[in-house]
Amino acid sequence: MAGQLIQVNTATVTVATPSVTLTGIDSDDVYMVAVNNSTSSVDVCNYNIRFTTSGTPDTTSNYDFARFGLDASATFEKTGIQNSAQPTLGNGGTGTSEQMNWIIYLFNFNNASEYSFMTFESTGLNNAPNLKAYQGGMVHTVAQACDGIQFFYSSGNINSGTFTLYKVV
Amino acid sequence: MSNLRLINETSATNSSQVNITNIFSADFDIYKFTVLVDEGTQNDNINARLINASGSVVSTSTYDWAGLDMNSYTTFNEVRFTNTSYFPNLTQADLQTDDGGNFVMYLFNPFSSSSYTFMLGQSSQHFSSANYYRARKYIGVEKSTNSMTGLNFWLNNNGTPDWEIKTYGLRVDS
Repeated sequence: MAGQLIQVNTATVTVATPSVTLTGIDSDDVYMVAVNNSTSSVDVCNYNIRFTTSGTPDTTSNYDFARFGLDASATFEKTGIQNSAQPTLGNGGTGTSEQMNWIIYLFNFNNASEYSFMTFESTGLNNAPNLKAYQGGMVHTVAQACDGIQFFYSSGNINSGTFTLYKVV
Repeated sequence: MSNLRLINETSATNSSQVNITNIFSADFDIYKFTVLVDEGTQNDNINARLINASGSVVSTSTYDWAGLDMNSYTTFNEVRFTNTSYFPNLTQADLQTDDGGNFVMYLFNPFSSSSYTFMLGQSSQHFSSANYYRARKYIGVEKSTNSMTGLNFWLNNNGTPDWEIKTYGLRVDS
């Protein structure tokens, strides 16, 4: 039946860690990542995402992304960035329930002759704490096979969260 | 077996609200809803409130919400609510027989007694004979750490549309 999700990899953070990497993309299917209750050790920080090749995050300045920030307390932010090495797709905070939650789709990761794309939706509280989260998309402008995705903060650690990679079949 | 597990299917006809109870549990942290609203009796916004473990609808001023109305007939509009008593504007019902509203929504951590409940969603709706189309993207939070077990969907103006609601859980196997 179309639309099934098959779990490929998962990581639950219970001890602070600098990053979380989910690998296991090995087919041309669309993949989905679900993240819930991810918190940071530093109050004011950016939550970033990179793609991995052979399990290693690609740190080159080849990420283009566009996002808008839904915000319950301020005018919505609209941002487009080219040639980033550290794409920011969320915020951190250490107060009560200051956390990020994501639904992410990954496209063409296994295809070595195409760029790798993703769409993302998120919801969470920033360090204010205000309800603010980004929606948008990103591309890695290198024709190479990618096998996963890495989450990390601009400073400090990931204190908690469940990160799960699914294949959409 | 798919890790997207169907938990509940609920249909209602000519109903001003729908309660879906006992759908959240420790088995899942993330839930997906697909909702179709049709055959409304007036132009109405669809809203939602959580239902707590006692079975009571939570209508305290603990909900924040932000959404973008993307309109075919006028400029886009940013909509914000803080400390309101429900998740507003999930989609719209309408009087016209061929109009309707639909949305896909995710809830995060509703059953947790240590985290707020977060939501995100997007909707598609057509309303009135003036050929008005609107899509919405939105996020929300209910700022209590009470364990929730269900959802109450309702309308601003007590219209009575038909509903088809499916609830899924995103299973994580350790």
